[in-house]
Amino acid sequence: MELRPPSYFALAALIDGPLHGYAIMQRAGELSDGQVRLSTGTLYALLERAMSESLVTAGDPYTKGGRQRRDYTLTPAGRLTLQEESQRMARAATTVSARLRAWAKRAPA
Amino acid sequence: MIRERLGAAVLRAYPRPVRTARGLEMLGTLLDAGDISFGSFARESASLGLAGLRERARETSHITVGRLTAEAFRLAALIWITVSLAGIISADLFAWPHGLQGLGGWLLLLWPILLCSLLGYDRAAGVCGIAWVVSVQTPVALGPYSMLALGSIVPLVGFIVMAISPRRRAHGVRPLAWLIPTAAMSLISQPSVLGLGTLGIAALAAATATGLFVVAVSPRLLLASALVWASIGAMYAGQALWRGTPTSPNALLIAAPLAILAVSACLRIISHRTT
Repeated sequence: MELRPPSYFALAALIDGPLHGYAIMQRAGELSDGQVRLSTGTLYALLERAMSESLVTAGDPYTKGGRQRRDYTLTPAGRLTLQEESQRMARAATTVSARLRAWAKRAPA
Repeated sequence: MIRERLGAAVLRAYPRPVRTARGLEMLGTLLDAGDISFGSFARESASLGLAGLRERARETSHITVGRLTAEAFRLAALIWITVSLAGIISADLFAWPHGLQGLGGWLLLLWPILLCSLLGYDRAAGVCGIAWVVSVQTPVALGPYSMLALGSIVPLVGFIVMAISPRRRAHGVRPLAWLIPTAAMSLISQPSVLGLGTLGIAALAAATATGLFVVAVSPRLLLASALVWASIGAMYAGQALWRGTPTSPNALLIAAPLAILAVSACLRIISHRTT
């Protein structure tokens, strides 16, 4: 299953443990060096999809600072999907890097 | 507090089940994300509103064409009753104190039908509606001016849908908001020949414009408006045939809804391809 960058980094945000919605948005931004900026609408759409595909589970709602929150946890299936996706991207990056290095050696100075 | 209210208003873009399940949590996240500045709150709100509309569009995309058409006919019957009632009441108000013709069978039956339907008693509304159409329009259809009964086909189908496939009961008084345009149109609108009133036609035009605006989310309102336009067009065409006058403007009235339906179908297809 190929993941788009917003889904990839939203799932990656949950590797270290459960997080609530806003924390996922912040963590995804940090992990992507600011390349992926999740908005509230996008976040809940992709969380909904991830839950329907059993990649993520939602905890019970709780209130903190007068605002309702809910923690999301990566499932084993979600962790596996993330691992496969990162390996796929690593393989693709390795292939392209090797081709670029080979071209640089052949190219006249 | 203002942001909370604005956020709650934006969340209304989502279907009710989603709001019930996650509304407060989404509002909390929106407020967290919008804490930085009002600009960020506005951006986040816009994003949340769009996502809500997409969610609604996804919900309606699962509805079959048959159910969508049935719902459009039911809504068309409601619009038709609203506009007709406004026309009848305004005719009474403008004729006051000389005439109260609207207090006859039309008004006595149409009010209960509208109220029953708004409160969710669809089966009762449908049965009364069918009884009304049959009792009022059958003599017309069998008489020399049978073409005038053409305009009752759409509401009749709507009433049959209500009777056969009633919706779940509505809760609260919010559906009764439909009575406001009826009352407003009755008070302001000058009655026209067919009893619809100029403002009734303007209200239909506004409903059609709104239907075009929200067609990607749900085509029900546009389809219903098109059906009511077709119904009015059929009435005008029937009247023109009866009088033997040229029918070209009336043909336009009937053709317009077909064009609206075509636009609706195209927009729907485009929205399906992009989601």
